[in-house]
Amino acid sequence: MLQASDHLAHACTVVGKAAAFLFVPMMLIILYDVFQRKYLGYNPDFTTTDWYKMFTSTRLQEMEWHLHSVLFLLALGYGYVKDSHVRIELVRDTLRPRTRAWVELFGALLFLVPYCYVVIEYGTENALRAFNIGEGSDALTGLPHRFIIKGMLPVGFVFVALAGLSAALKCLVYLFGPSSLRAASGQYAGDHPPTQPADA
Amino acid sequence: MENVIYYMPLIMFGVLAIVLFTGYPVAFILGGIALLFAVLGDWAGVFRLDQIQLVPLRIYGGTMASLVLVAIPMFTFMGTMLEKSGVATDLLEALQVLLRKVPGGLALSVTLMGTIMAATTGIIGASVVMMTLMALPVMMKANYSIPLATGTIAASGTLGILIPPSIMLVIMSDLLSVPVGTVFIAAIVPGLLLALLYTLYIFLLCRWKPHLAPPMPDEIGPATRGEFWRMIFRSFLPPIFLILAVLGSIFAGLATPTEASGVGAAGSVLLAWFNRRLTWETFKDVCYRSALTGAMLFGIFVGATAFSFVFKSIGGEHLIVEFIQNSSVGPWSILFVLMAMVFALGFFFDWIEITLIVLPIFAPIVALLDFGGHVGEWAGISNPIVIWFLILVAVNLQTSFLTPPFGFALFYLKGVAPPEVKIQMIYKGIIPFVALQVLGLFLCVVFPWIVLWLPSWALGG
Amino acid sequence: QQHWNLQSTYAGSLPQLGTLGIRIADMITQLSNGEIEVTFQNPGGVVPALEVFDAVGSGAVEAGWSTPGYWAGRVPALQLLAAVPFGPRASEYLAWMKFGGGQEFLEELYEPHNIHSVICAVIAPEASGWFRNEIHNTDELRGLTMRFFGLGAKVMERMGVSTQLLAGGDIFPALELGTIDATEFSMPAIDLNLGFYQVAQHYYFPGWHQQSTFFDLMINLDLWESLSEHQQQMINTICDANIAFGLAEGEAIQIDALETLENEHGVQIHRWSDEDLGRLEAAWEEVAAELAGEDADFARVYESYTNFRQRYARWRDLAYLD
Ligand code: NA
Ligand code: NA
Repeated sequence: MLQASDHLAHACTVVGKAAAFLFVPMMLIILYDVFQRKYLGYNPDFTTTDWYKMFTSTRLQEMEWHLHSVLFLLALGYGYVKDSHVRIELVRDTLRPRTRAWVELFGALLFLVPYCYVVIEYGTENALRAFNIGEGSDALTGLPHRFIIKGMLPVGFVFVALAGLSAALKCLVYLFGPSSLRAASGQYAGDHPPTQPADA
Repeated sequence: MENVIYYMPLIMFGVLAIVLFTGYPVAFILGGIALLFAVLGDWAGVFRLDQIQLVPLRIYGGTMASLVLVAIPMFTFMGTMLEKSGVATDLLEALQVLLRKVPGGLALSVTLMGTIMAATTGIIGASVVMMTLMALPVMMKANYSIPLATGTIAASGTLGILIPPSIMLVIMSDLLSVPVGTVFIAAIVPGLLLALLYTLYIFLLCRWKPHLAPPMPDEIGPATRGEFWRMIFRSFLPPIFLILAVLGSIFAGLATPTEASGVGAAGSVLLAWFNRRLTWETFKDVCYRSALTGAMLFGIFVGATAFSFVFKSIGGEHLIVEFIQNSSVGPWSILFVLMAMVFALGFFFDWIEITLIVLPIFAPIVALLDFGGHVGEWAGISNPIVIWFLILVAVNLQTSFLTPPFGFALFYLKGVAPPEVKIQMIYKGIIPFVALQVLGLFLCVVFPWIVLWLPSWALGG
Repeated sequence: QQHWNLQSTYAGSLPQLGTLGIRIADMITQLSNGEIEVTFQNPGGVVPALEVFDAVGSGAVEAGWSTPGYWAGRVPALQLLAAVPFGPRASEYLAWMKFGGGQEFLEELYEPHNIHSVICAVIAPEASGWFRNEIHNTDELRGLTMRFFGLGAKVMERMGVSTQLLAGGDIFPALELGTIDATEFSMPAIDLNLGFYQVAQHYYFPGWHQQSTFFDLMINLDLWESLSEHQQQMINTICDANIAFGLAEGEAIQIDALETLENEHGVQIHRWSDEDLGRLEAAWEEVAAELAGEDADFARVYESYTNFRQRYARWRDLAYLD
């Protein structure tokens, strides 16, 4: 069970870390858009090229928020694995480790999983709707294929749900498993969750 | 039973407050409670459960498809990069040396930095996160009291919604159909007034209680004049140059404020490289951490949109409007109740929901109120009462980012602070700054010229 | 007794764009004797503006207030039922909509998405945009950066303009500081309130991209079919009344606004020359042909529209003074 939990956590981490590198294209696109608008857009030789027509400002600007959405959605589950989501630990600090594990178990099963279910279920419906009608940008000069970005919402929340399941499994092991596994499963019973982990 | 259903939105608040203290992540508590009350609301007949499918639409349309929010990850990246590459530490230590004679010098430079950041972004999350990353570790190393340090950062970081550019002011102007330009100019003096109040407070406090902000011992720092200037050139000027480049790209018309955040992020990489501190390991680490921070912020955004949607739908909006209407007679009492209500709502909601509930309904009412010449006539401003009122709400909303238990700026700070920073320290630290903001709000109410003089001077010809 | 949310894509404070929607909400509530209580929602109130289409289609929101052109990304042909570059003035456009086949297209195009649409307002011409610098002819458009949306944006790109999307909060500072050179917005009565004159002094006419614009009341199709005939008739009548009301109001409120802009704020008002308009129209015809090639529905609607206009031209030339 602990192994399953670790696998789930690992999957979320890999996806989140991969998404983290989207910072690079985001930065480059912003810089390129600024540069093109101020310096290249005036040159008629350049503005008649296919390259320019492919990378118009509107498209680049839409790409910025597309990438940003993918980045934060895919990092949500990774964030839970690394415990970087904000907690109010005012009372939590005074609770016994076992109670904390119970809180985490209940939270994951009663709050997180149903919430993820709703977002996944209706987010998928929304993305399918976009796919079926071939939805594109509402700005005619923007990007096509809206279903991709709409589909990222349920995908991101699948990883949140997996991270939640991983946490729940760990807490189950901690609460009911053999004492030899306590140390390995006690992540969510710990004293103060380091919001910025030493090893990201 | 009828009463229970009528007051269900209040119960929702109560449950949220209690559950928050279990210590489960805020982002998922918000979403979970939203769902719980959607089910309860359906059962009580005040909500249709199929409306819950609007939550993904709100997440997509409100949070994902929002270009202005791109500034958050970019400034987060910039802050993380400057911190991890040591540039930020060098800068603040240089500042500390420069300001060693001034009580609370480091805190004062944070306020100054917050004010400058405010001119580059209108997104609270971006500036609070960036300043926390850069300044908090240094302040803690210098043995500053943690509540003072976090209070200074959170309060200075939230100046961004008052000092233009500010997405909040743009949306408020849209909702009231008043010129954004006028509103931008009107917010400047109140914003600077708050910065001034913070500065005075920090200065006096640190003079009175030096142990809260221990001055730097004389033997630390550059010993010779040459070393001193080397420090200035190596540690002080490059990051200052970067901040000016971000500001400059906006004011030179090269980049929009959102794009300037990208310029800053790229600049921070260059700067780290320039300081020979850029390794692949550092770069990876910065990407991962910034992604985690982004996830932390957006987790809250996304949860909050679910929470406020269900709250409004089960009758919360109605309850608030009715409460304000029933409890106030006469212009001053309406204004007071409205302000108190905005303040109170700020404990639980983000500004966009509050403005959507309060502004469209009450601004037209306020515009017609007779304050007996209190606001007066101003050249170049066709509806001074509306502008005044809008700025009062804006100053008030700035406060609500900071009010415990549910202050968004406090969460952002908490999310990137070192683990030994507890939420209770942050709560404690923010109280004096909230008091200062209430004082600022009070001054704007009593002296409308604080709001209206500058725009009238600038636009009145 | 029913309760409806009317989710608008425009802020209620905007003259016409918002106020006409509020008027519909009030009228339905009043004339149904409270049987249908309608709450006007500002953008984001229930869902953000661009999600109104899906929200109404799914039935989670009962009704929407928007313009069919808003859904360009979903149903491109709907743009022709909202505003067409170099399109007709309101009377001719209404004639096609009500008696020339427009309404049938409207219902047909919305139907697969489970939405019933009633045309519920038509508004006066828009302006062509706010420019920081004077533009002497369309050649000078080349290389400009301009915030522009929709069919007009396609035309502008053909004129060498780089159209920008920009974040909502960035438009104003961007125009002020010269990050962009120009922006399209709306009509004098609306632009005056929003204060574009504070950052750009040159105001261009005519709004060739939007001579008249239809707005519609979107109702979830299942809900519409569940209404009694009386209720349906009531809504149709309210919309017809709103069209007349809005048209009259829209023409009337520009007068003062234009005077204020010109006399109090020193805005310089320009009109494109006939040659410039000719060049823009030629670009539009290319765009229209391209879009018709990409989308069969667009082609069908465009054909009906152009046929009607060609036949109507004889009457227009004979009957009207200008
Ligand atoms: Na700002
Ligand atoms: Na608060």
